[in-house]
Amino acid sequence: MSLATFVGQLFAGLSLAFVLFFTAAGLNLVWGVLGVMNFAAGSVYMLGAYLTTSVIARLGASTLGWTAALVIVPLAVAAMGAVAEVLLLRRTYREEDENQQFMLTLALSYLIAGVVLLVFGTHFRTVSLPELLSGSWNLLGATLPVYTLVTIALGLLVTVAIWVGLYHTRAGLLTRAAVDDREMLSVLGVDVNRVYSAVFAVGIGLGALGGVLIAPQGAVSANLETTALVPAFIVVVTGGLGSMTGALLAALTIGIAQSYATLQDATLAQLTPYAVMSVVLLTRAIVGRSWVIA
Amino acid sequence: MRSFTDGAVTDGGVALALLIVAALLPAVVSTEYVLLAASMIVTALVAVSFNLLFGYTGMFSFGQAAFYGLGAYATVLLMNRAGLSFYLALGGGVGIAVLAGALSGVVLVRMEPVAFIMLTFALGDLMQFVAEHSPSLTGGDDGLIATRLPHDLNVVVDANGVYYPMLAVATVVLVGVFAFVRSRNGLVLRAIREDALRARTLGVAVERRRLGVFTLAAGVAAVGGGLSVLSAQIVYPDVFNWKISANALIVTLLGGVGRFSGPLVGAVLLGLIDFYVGKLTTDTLLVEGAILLAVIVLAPRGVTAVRLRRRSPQASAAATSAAPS
Repeated sequence: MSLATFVGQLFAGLSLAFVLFFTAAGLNLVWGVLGVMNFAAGSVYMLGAYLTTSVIARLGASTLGWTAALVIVPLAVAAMGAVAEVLLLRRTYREEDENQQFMLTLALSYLIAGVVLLVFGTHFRTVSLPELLSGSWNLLGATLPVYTLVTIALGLLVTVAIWVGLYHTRAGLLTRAAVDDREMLSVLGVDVNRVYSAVFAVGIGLGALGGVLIAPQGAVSANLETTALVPAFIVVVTGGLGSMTGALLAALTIGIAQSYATLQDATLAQLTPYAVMSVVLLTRAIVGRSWVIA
Repeated sequence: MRSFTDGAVTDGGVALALLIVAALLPAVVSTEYVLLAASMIVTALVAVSFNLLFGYTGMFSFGQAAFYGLGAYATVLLMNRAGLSFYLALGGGVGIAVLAGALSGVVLVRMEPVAFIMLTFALGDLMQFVAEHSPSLTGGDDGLIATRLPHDLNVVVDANGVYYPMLAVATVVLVGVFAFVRSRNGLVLRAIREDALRARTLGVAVERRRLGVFTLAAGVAAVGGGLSVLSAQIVYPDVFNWKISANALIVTLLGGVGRFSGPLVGAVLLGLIDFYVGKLTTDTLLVEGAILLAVIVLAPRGVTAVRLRRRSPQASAAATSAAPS
């Protein structure tokens, strides 16, 4: 492998990894705080991509249009998430059966897919990039699409924001407190319901952001739902449920490995997430930390 | 204890009544509805398989489509390639699915509940990927036609000639499952569902039981897949689609989780709803989402439970007080 290919695939893998991490981080956040495995994570990713095509259709594939899509779409979907949390999920936290919440998010995913089908139809859509983002840069002989670099930069930015947000702000402190002891937090006078709504909104918004970033990289279709959800599940399980650091490491490993595997066989490369997960889980089992993931 | 027995009698009674209606159906309705009933039989088997795991044992499987599809593909392949008769091929297909269930189950049943959901979901997706990308074996996206179905098992020639064998095979499986869940095995599974740790302390080999029921459920779903070959005559990679696994959940929830008749009643109801809604719109996702939402919010224990609770309030009160506090 030449140096140029090596560098090129590395960057392609990084951009793949960050898009993966967005959905996985959203899943982890919601799971960690609300105790809900959010099946609608794939649907909001698809919704984010579709809404991007709408925004671009209105404002044009200009820098303005793309900036607007990057800001408006995740915020709009996050707001929808907050509404869904208040209307549906909130009434179920007292139930002992956590499956009920999972099934509610499944119902949500059906409704989102149904509405998307109703509004956008069955034809796939494509969006183009503005001139500013469609060029490429040269680095060590490798041609790197500007869009890949922008995705990586945004990925780094959001990742740092997640960490700073969780560990260096009052909101993050409350979020982590809600994970540890919901009742104690409530006794201390914090409106836990608002914390839950906010966390669900952020988790949903992260998924939608991934959808915005993926929109120009291929056809926007209903298939995006599963193409996002399955790898995100695998990232979360591989990294250890609820662990942000684990999810980031797993996303990076899977993204970069898949990028290099594509050079050998583009079809088989799609099995990379399964392969990485199998290796990690088997290692965990053999080393004896048990394969029961907690 | 009385409420338990009463429930058992009604539960089995509802299932028996449905089977009798199913047997008499072709005498009354047109071919279109016989084919609808045939699809309900297939749906019901996958839902029964899901209910064995979720309803009885508390294992939320989101991957029954993996075994349903494996049953369908293996049945067709054994007929087309090995020249087996349909019934032998069905048996072989179910055997393959059982083996696959046992092998994947060894890893899956040890997973923490949420990881179990995610990985069973991923299993179906993996199978769909393999089916799509192995054209020499599966025909890829073009599907695999069952070329060697005998004349008397051709749905186009004679719908009833296909419907009755499907109903007969399904009945045998259902009787077996009923006997299983009513036996001591069924009680042990419910003990695991209620409190796995307590069951373990009482000497139940929890992991082995979970593996056993996962394997059994794989076989039941595969029977559904194998039978679907009769009415469809072709298998597509979509038989592994997660919507089939989700459908089993919706059906079971609609009818009643953890009750034997639940998935059967649910399969009939959702089958009818989809049939009539399908005549009005192709966007069935919205309708199914709304049904799922309504059931979770309004009748979390399914329609069979709603009816029973109204009939005997004492029985449900007794059941509540008997539950561990």
